[in-house]
Amino acid sequence: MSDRTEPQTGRETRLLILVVGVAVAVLLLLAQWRFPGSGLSVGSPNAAPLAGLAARATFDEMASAMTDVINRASPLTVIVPLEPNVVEGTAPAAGRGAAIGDEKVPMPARPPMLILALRVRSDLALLHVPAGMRLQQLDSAPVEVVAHDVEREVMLIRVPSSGSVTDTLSGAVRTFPRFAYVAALDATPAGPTVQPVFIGRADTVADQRWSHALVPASVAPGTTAGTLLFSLNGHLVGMVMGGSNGPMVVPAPALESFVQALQTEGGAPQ
Amino acid sequence: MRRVPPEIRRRELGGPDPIDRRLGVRAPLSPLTWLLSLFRTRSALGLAPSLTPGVIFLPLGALLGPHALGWIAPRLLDRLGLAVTIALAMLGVLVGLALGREIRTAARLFLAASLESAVTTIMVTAATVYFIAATDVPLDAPLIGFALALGLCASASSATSAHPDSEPAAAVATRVADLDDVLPIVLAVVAFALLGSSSRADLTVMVLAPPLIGLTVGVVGWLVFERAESGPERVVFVLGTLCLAGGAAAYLHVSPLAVGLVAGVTWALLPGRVDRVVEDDLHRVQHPLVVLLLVTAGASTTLSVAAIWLLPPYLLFRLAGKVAGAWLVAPSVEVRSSDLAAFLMPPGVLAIAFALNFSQMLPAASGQMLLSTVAVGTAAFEVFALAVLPHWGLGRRA
Repeated sequence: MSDRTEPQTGRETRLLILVVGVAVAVLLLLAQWRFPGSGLSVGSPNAAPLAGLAARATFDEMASAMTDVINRASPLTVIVPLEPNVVEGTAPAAGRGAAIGDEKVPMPARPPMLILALRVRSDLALLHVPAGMRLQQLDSAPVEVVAHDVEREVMLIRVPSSGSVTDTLSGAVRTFPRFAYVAALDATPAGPTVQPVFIGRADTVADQRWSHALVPASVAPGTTAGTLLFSLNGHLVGMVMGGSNGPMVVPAPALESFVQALQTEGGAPQ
Repeated sequence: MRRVPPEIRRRELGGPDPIDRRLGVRAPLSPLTWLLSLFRTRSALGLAPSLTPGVIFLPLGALLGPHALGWIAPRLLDRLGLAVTIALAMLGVLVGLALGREIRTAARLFLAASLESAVTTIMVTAATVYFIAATDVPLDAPLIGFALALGLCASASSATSAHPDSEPAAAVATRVADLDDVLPIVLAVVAFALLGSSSRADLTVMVLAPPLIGLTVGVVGWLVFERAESGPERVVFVLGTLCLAGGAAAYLHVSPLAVGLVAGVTWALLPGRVDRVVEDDLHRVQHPLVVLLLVTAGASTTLSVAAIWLLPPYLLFRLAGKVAGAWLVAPSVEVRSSDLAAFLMPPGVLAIAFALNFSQMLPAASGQMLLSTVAVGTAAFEVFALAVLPHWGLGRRA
């Protein structure tokens, strides 16, 4: 039991001073740097563990489901600003003059808009770019356009890589849902937002530009071109695209085939 | 206060004490037990590293979690929240039972353990506050509350790196480690109030609720446990009481560890043998719940930039805090301070329990950052103890 009568020796004190001194010195040194990230991902407080057992109103259930979807789907999206493309976007002049000549007048300028791009790979995002609009390039953060398919109004851009996104499309919903609620995600200046949308009876429309049949967006009221649809468990259902026959929902398998074609061909299939 | 036979005192992770072995209480030796025993024996002799649950189950959880194999999905992690809360209440009960039994016979040791724990908490909290403020780490929680939470996680220690009866210093360190969790659990009530209360009324509720719930649960258990007509019925009562403790704490957003602590102290101090009843029955679920805690913590760990950014102050000042705390209390417990600090180096399950507890309360981003920092730090300290302590012992013996 020699340890029990061991006095506090100078060695112990030296050890203490050494360890504390090194800790303070390293802390002061490290404090010279600034935190590299721009911010933490904002999250709402965790639900209490018993929250799932408490009785709730039906609309609370829906609100909870939408919150769950937006939390899961937000990392899969990137908000991209678009601006009007007045140089290339022209339209036939209306009225009597148009009937006489073939001159064109500039398309009425559309206001700048935000659109949600879908991360299809960790560093690639797919977005709908309506005719007459183009990507707004910011000097502070220029965006690299990997491919632009004007016919389909789709653009593939390179985005900062995210380790948490592996392959959004392979885990997507394979069969378009019927008589079910889905979550419709749109872009706002404050971030992605979500609305519940009920999909009723839906017919499909063949479109030669896409590998799978499309679904008219009228089955999902309130959706517009660029809206992303997710199932309530956070899997991609499809993306709403504009078209001559009105907005159409392009199902996830069609998007997957399109992206694969883009990557294998190295460019947009025109 | 009756005197409790020493053989029933258990380590925070359960299992027989060294005294049990001296009395010849031996469990049947399975191949796994034999292998673990071999590791421990060789570790005590300085010949091999020892295995602790954190070294095995934290990486296993990370492997099974959403960021690796994905077998534990985020939704499953959400669902595990309730089981984690009950496991936290169980750990609180175990600490409370140890405190209730030892508070009168080992008051001096308890004060020493609390002082050591307070020094570590203060050093890590102060370093974290300075580091976050100096480097502009974005935080979606109150800075003081977050730093205090990290400091409390750092204060836990388990002394599992060496066998308690391998040498006198290890035996003392084991008892210090068993008792140094009490002060952090009490301070966690304050941290919860700082983080979660928005008004004075909330503050009052969050401070008073844990002792009141714990006392109520303790009295309920005392009334029903010994009246059970069969063993299985008694187990149901014990587990039901544990669920009541955890559930009430979760409902009121207070610390289940604190609720369990008060219930455990109540059972240890009340007349009868209710504390032994609880301990026997908890022994059946103790190890699975500890594994669940560690695997859940591992699966919830995200190696974000923020979590890695906070690692240096956590690692450095936990080390400095343990050394300083041991230096302060070593004369009163009659061991060499460097030995005490070395044996207190592994954080053990309680550190993970504190982190899970706070992550349930903090906003999601801060909670994940805290849990990840503590989980990685715990694994690092366990590996550090595993690699360094055997050589440390050899150096001293030489």
